[in-house]
Amino acid sequence: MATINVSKDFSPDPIGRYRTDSNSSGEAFREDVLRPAIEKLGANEKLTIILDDGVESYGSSFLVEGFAGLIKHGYVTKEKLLTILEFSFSDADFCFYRDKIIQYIKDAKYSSQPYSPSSK
Amino acid sequence: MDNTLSNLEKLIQKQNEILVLFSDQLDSNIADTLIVGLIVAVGSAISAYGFNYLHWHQTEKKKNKLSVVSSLSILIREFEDLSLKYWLSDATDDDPELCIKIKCRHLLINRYVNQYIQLFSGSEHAQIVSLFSNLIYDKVTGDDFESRSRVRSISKATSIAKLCSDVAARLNEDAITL
Repeated sequence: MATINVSKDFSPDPIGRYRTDSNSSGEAFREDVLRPAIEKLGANEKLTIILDDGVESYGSSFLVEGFAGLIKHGYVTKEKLLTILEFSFSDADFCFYRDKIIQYIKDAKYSSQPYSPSSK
Repeated sequence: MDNTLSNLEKLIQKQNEILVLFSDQLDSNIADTLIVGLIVAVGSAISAYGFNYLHWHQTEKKKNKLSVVSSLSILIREFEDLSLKYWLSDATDDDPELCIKIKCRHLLINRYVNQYIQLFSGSEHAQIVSLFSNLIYDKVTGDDFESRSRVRSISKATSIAKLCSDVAARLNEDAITL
C-alpha cells in the first residue's frame, strides 16, 4: 500500500490554492505529489494519506485544489478516487478534514479544460 | 452508584440483625413497632439519597451544557472578528498570522460543536450548529484564502457575519432556556 505523509512528503505548512500563493499550495501538492503517486499505483492498490503527523491545520482552498482538482482537470474520476484514497490521522480533530476532502471530491465537476499551471 | 446501593443494602441487613437481637430481649409489640419505625426511617433515607443524586446529576448536566454553549459562543465571536478583519482588507503582510488564528479557531469551534451535538442531540439547534461548522469553514477558508492576490470582499464578509450572528443568537436562546 502506498502512503503520502503530507508533512514529510510535501510540507508541514500546506497553504493556499495556487503556486502563486505559496510553494506548498494545493496545486503544488496535487501536481507534484498526489497525481504522480496515483499514477504509480498498481491495480486495486490503495493510497493512504497521512493528514496530521506535523500538519496543524488545512484551509478549504488547499484541500479543494489539492484533491477535488484531480477531478476538475480530468486526471481521475471521482468514483475511482474515492475508492483509491484512504486517510490516516491520530488527532481526532482531523476527522473533520477527512470528511471535507470526501465532500469536495463528491462535489467536484470535470471542467473539460486541460490543466494549465498558474504562473509564479 | 452500584457500590453505594450495595453498601446501603449491607447496612439494612446489619440493622435487621441488630433488631432481631433486640426483639429477643423486648416485648414483641414494642419490637414490632421499633422494626417498622426503623424500616420507614431507612426507606426515607434511601429515597432522599436517590432524589439528591438525581438532582445533582441534572445540575451537573445543566452546568456542562451551559459551559459548552458559553465556550462555543465566545469562539464564534472571536472567529467572526478575525474572519471579518481578514476578508475586509486586501492581502497584507499580516495575513499569515490571521490565517493561522482563523484555522485554529475553526478547529476549536468544531471540537465544541461535536460536544454540543452530543449534549443537544435531536434538537433543531444541533442540526443548525453542525451545518454551521461546515458552511463557515468553506466560506471563510475557501476561494482566495491564503492567496497573495486576495482582494477585500464585502459580500463574503456580510455572509460570514450573518452566519455567525444567526448561530450566536440560537446559542443565546439555549443559554436562556437551560
